[in-house]
Amino acid sequence: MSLIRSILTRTKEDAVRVATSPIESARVAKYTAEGVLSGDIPPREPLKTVGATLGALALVLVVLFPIYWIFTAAISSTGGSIYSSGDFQLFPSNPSMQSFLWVVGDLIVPGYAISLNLPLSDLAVVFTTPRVELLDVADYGVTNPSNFKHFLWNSLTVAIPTVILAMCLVVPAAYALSRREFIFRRKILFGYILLTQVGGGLGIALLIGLYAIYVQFGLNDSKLALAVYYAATAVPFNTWLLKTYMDGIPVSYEEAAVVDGAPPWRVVTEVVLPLSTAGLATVFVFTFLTGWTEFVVAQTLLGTENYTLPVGLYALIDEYTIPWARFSAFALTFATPIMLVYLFAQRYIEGGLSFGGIEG
Amino acid sequence: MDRREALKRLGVAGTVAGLAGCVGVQEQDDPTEGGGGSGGGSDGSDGSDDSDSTTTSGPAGEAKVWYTLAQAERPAREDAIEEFNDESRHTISGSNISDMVKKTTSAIPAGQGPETFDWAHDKVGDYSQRGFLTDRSDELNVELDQFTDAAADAVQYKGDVVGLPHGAETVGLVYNTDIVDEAPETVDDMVAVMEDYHDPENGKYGLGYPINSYFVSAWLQAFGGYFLDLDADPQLGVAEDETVKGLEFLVNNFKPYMPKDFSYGPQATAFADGNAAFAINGPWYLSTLNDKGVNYEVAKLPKPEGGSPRPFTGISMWYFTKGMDEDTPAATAGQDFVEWYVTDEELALQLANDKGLIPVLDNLVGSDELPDSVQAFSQAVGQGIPMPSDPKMAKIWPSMKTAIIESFNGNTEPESALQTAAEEIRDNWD
Amino acid sequence: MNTFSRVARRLETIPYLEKSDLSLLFVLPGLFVFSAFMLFPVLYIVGISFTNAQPANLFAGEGVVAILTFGEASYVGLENYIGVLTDPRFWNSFGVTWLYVATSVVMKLVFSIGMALVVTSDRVRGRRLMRSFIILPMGLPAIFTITVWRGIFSSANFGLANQLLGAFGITTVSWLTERWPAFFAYNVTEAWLAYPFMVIITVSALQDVSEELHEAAKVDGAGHLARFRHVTLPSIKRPVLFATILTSAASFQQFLIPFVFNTGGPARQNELLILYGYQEAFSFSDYGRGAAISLIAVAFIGTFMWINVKRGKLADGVKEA
Repeated sequence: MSLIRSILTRTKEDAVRVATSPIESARVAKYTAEGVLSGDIPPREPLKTVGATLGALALVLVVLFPIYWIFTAAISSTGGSIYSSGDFQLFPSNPSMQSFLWVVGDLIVPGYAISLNLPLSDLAVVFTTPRVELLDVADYGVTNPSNFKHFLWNSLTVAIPTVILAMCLVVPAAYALSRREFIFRRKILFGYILLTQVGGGLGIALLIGLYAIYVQFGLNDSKLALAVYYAATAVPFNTWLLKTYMDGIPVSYEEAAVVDGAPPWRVVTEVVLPLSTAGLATVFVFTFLTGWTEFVVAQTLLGTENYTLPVGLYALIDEYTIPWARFSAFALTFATPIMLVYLFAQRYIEGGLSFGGIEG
Repeated sequence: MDRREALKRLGVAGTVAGLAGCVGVQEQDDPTEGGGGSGGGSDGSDGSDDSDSTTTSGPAGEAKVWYTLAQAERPAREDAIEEFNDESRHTISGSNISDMVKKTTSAIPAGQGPETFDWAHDKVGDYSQRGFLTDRSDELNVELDQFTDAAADAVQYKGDVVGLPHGAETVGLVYNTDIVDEAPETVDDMVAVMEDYHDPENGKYGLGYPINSYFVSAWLQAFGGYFLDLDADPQLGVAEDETVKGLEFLVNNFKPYMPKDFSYGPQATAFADGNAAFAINGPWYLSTLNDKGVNYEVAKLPKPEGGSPRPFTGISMWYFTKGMDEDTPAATAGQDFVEWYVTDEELALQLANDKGLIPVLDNLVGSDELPDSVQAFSQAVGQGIPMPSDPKMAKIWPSMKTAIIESFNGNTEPESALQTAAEEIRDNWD
Repeated sequence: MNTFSRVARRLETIPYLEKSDLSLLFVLPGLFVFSAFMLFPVLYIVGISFTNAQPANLFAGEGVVAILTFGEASYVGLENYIGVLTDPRFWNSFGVTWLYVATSVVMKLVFSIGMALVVTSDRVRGRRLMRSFIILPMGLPAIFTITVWRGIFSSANFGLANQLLGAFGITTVSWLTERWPAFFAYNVTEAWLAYPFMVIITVSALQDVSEELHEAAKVDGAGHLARFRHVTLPSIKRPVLFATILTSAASFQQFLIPFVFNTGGPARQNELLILYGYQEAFSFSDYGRGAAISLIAVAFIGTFMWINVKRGKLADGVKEA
């Protein structure tokens, strides 16, 4: 419980910090400027910072260029394509947010009529809540918005169980593999290394076999079964990954805790786990990614009602005509939660050693 | 937790539970939706669908139908299904599937497939051989002769009727009316125009033509060549002189005027941006052109010297799957729907007007009620031959694709490329 | 002592037992769940590689169970394997794939570690935000970004890469129709797709490095480069080495890039191994052979990984580190 509460507090702090960051950076800038002018801070220091920041920014922009290109395709009016036989334009001539609006669809909270039946009588008291219209895309000329929200819900209900299940399976295993000697240990480790490749390149025959089994057990078209499958395939890789992080924690910390009289399970939860938050957060990100972006198996196993986002994204293409604008908008919106998850997880990745807590 | 707390919590829980039983929540209807509903009701009763769709007797059934349609086309399909549901005792539920081939391949053998699905006819042979389809010639309530010959042939495999056709498609010539005055009759005329206009330094191209076996089939078969002819000797015609001549003709006459990337995207974009004089493409292309505001017209393919273009045509059909094997209500429902869909002239005309779909009902071919572009494509269909649906074709497509692309890239001569392909195909046929 | 009382006593005893096979219990749930899902499919593939399964005979039986027992396909022993190993195309594929692994891994490593260092350096402001942004490519489905890259490397004059070259006065390159330009294009795309993975892992590892060690080194007068070599590198060795091994395996198994770009290069010259397997299985409908190729590929990459794990001593527990 306290773990969850601490996570919630930290999230709140993060949100607050993000919101006030512009103010914060303005203040820092002012301080530095004053320092330079008054001669306290040698001008080289802030210049180095500015130079480094600009350099890093340039690097990031170059690397992200294809994403920018996708973005320009998304905001050009329909009919855009990533191929354009004219010259390259840095910014499209008629930008329009229509594709994004199409992706998001109507954000309407329908009004509800809540009726309270008075017991022992035939009367009822009725409250009606108003119909709140946050966004009605018909106003912007978008008919037939996409099913993004529906797919989003499906994806969430697949990704979250995947992460929870995977964490439960992976964390104890990684701890044991890192710190304990037991029979079969090496064999399991080497076996897992090999198994990380399973599901990757094994192709069609695997898919056919998998589908056949699922149908036998009546599990096809079940999101939970899919989540369990994702968690299962994530086990070898993530166990290994977490193990390598845990290997980096010196045993002396644990020994110190034991000397202080802590029982073994407390050693784990209060010494090892906090020190391996970096690894835990990384595993969290990767398992979430698996559940969120996997496409091939999802498409084979799920029926149309349960389609997750990647499958929905692919349903947009037909054989020849790819509606690039909408496709790109959908894809970018699809990728945004990953960014948020990573942003959120960074907090923990930066946990690191409790001594001299490093600022990332 | 002391007793007072516990009692308090119990009390709260109890009240909530009690109230919950009495509370009902109902979503308010969207005030605008009611108005729309009443408007829609009148459309369905227009019905000129009538005489030949005899209603079958029997219990009401539910059937699943699968299709793959562009986002823009789905509402029309969904409307059609709704119309059928309103008029018939059956209930049809439709799903848009993004990878039809893969999905049907895995679902049908596992018993999870639909009653019927909509696809081009090229899978008829392959799927029949795999046992995915079922012959319904005994239960059919419609006559096959109301369709064009090509369409009627396409839905049969070894005498079994495994589906019903509802549309045809092939590639035709599209030209930009701002650049080209009138449709060229011969390839030489066309080349003359392209020669004038082609200027890659300034981003102008003569022709935007995606290269794959289906698109180029017109020329490969123009001089008497063929891909597969079960009655001929040799059955495999890809390395025959006439086919080789066709490929050489294609490379020599068209390649110099096209952008250097031969896949669909760049070729289609060149014309769609207004930077090419001609394009060779199918009816699906027109909505993109409409969106981009290009002034175009469609014509049938120009004749090469000494030959006549024979493109492969695809017949879109509703397949009868293994799920319709037994005479269950679901099978009847599926069949009723398919029969209604393919014989409804109103529907066919509406689709022709909205989506450029080429009808295969004899009555409608060449009809004046069809829009111009559809008429032109319809003529192109007349020039062509249906893709062979024999399972042997499945082994031909990949090798041909390599041979054609290699010839276009200039890495090999058409003759040797086709020879290699023929050898490979023969190997794989064994 | 019987097992039960030992478990009961665990709560009070010292963690480091000499014989603690009970720890196996921690690992078993994961192993069990994984096997439950993957064991049968893997066995299925192994089985199918010994048959001559084709769509015609695999689906011939009635119902699902028939598929699970390979329908009417017949046992052909090692024929598939022999056929594969004597196919010159297989060896070409094999060679190109290893070359690809070598080039792309070097590219990925250099690029990712460099990137990770840049976005964790103290001097850069707003690095947290930058880090989230550079993760973005990982959030997009691979096939989507690969299609976009194909557009960039289009051979047409108006392909983006060609336009960029044109700005420098270089003539257009037919990226996808010639072997080595296509190979280069594959590498660049692979590096772009894989860097988020490595950057995430490297960044976490970098942030685990103790500040105290850095301080101590600075006090001893070590400059940036020396500190990097002697403090940073050793600390991040294990996760980064692990990531490298995995990323080489990913390169080895790359399928989508050659498939989408140009289906294996001019005349199938750049056909990476898994694409080769796909062509056999799907295009030529020979499932048995395709499965054999996949298994051969897994065998090779598995051996490669095993060797590297042994060399890097990654399988050691923390005590032996």
